[in-house]
Amino acid sequence: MIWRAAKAIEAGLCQAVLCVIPMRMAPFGPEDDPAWMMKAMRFGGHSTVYGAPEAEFDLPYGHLGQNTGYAMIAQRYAAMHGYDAAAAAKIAVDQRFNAQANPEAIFYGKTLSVDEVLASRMVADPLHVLEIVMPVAGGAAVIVASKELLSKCKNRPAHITGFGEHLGYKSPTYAKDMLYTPVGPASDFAFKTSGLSRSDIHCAQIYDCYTITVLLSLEDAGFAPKGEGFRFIKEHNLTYQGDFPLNTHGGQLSFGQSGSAGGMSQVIEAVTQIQGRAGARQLKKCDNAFVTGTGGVMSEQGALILQ
Amino acid sequence: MGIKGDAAIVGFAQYKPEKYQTAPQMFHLEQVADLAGQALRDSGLKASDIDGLVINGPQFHEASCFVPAMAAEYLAFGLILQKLLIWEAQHLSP
Repeated sequence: MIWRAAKAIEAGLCQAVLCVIPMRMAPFGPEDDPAWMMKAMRFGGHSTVYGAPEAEFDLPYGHLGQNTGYAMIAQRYAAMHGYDAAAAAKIAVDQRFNAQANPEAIFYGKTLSVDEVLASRMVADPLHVLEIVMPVAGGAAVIVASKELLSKCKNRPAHITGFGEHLGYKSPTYAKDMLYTPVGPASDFAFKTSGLSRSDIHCAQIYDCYTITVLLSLEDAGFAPKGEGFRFIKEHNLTYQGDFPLNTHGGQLSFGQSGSAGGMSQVIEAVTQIQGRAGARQLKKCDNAFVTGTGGVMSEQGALILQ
Repeated sequence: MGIKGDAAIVGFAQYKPEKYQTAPQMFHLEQVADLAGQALRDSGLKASDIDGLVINGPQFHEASCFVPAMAAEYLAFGLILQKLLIWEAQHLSP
């Protein structure tokens, strides 16, 4: 959304773009079936209609939605590189620490330990329930403006200096290699367009529907070598007080995932940090932020660099 | 192919995440207008400055198609502007 708006402005097509995603539930009408949403959510992003490839080749074999897909990727990672469940849990724990400095977060006021994550219900091995986002009602809007309008704006602008987007497949069934996600080419393009290098980044706001998403994103975006993501997580403090601030608003794991607007929380947190409006979790220095977004089962992903 | 970096995010609005069971229910058009107003106030820009719209196509309550046109109509953008630009974006937020 954001880079489309920025490119349209740079092309001279418009001067200020509203990007908006409403994700609170609408009121039910008298004829509406309240169970509709639960039915729609049951298979995640998979299409169940006659003729859909997933309906023929994924669903009958137990690949029912997001949970099983991400668990399959995590299992593949375990087979190739080994799996460190405590390090995966640390992603959720460090982000929960960040959420304690964000009164807007759904898990504000509820601390979390690695032991609690590992003792939580196993949903799809190796993913525990506390490594999976909690769906919430919400919504978000962002305004992207041209340089001509910046003098009329109140806050420090967060310039869109790098972007990338990559779509390879819908179901990971068709991935060439599940462990090399579209975040890779998207991030490479974003860094190339911005001219920044990985070491220039002051905070990373990484789409975190699951802990495995963060692990693979850190590797494929080039912050950690392939297969060494868990080591990177253990070696770094990922909180707003740490040496690699990650998802400083709590991430969607602790802030909440408001449907399609969930990824916008990462964009808004990057802007909040750049503008110096993050309150108790404000980073001392944040001029360059890296943001990723994910759709499907690691199937359509984007990256942004904001400065 | 690349990007100059001229355009910038200047304002935002975000609902506080809430459990579905207890969150207020609102028509999606209402939310679009409410969030747009909040983001405009945050930015310092006026509604008349806006001449582009990017909005989610699917999962929109009041319409299964022509969502951007409906939202632009509700926001009265189409009445103000000649060069309205619309894209439908799906799940990918950034």
